[in-house]
Amino acid sequence: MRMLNRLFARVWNFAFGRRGDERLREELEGYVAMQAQENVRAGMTPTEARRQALLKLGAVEAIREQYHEEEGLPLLEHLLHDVRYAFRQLRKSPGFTLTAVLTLALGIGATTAIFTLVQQVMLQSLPVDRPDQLWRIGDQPHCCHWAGYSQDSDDNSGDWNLFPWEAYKLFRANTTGFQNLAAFQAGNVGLAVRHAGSSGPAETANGEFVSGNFFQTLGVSA
Amino acid sequence: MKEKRDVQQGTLALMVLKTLQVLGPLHGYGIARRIAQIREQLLSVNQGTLYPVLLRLEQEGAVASEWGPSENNRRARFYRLTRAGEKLLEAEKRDWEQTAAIIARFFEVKAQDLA
Repeated sequence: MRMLNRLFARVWNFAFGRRGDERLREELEGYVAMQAQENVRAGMTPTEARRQALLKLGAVEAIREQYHEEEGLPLLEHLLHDVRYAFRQLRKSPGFTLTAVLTLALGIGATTAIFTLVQQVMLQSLPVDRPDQLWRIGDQPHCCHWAGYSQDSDDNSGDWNLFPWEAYKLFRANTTGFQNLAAFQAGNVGLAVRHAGSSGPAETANGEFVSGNFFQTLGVSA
Repeated sequence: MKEKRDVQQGTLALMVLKTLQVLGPLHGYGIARRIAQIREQLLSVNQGTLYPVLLRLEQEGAVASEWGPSENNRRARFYRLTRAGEKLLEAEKRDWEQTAAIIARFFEVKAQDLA
């Protein structure tokens, strides 16, 4: 409760910029006056009395500093001062500021771009049911949208990645290591698609034939 | 001669509370004077450090303060102990007594007592 009260008072003072400088000044003056008066009663000259009173009070600046630190939120205040100072310095040297801003901008941009690429290519898994159990048969990257059938011809002899429909059926009938084996057409067909009932222009889309168990194998709905 | 030491702020706060409890509402100078009287030469403190402590106690709700006329017709800020301050003082007092008792007993122990 005490800590809460104190924190609340500090936040309040900080938020409304309230400073008790005036109050402290008056209090310290009061102290010196009263102490001096007593010193005079003890037999000192007024000047000496005041001097002694000030000595007894201690370093006023240090006290003010301490007082002020009790008052608000010194940490935040210093932070604000530092930020303001930094901005002032930046405004004073626009060349440096421009260089720094450009460097940061380029750095952040490049990092973001590279990360986006890495994430899409390497980190993000396929949007299918169990991507870790999905395999493609073949030893070349040609698949999917590759239409140039070149197996066993010219310099690509020995490639093993595009298969005839009959071969697929043979594989499917004799594959025990996998739960399912699906197939899709090598290459695709350009389609013009228009939503039912829509009168807008048709949009282009890619289409291809797939085996009947394709969506079931991937665990996605059509 | 004993070495003069700075009083820790916490101790000073406790002395302030006790002073206000004994003497009732008092201005800063009165508190400083009273504490200096009791402390004598043992501990020396810049008397001005009292004011941050007073502010802190006020923010904690242990003391309340308002302006009022002092003996020599100056305006002075008078501090008084609040209910929360009374409770705080009691708690702190118990803590100190306990600590002091433990330390005292510890120093009284002789080798043969432990054998």
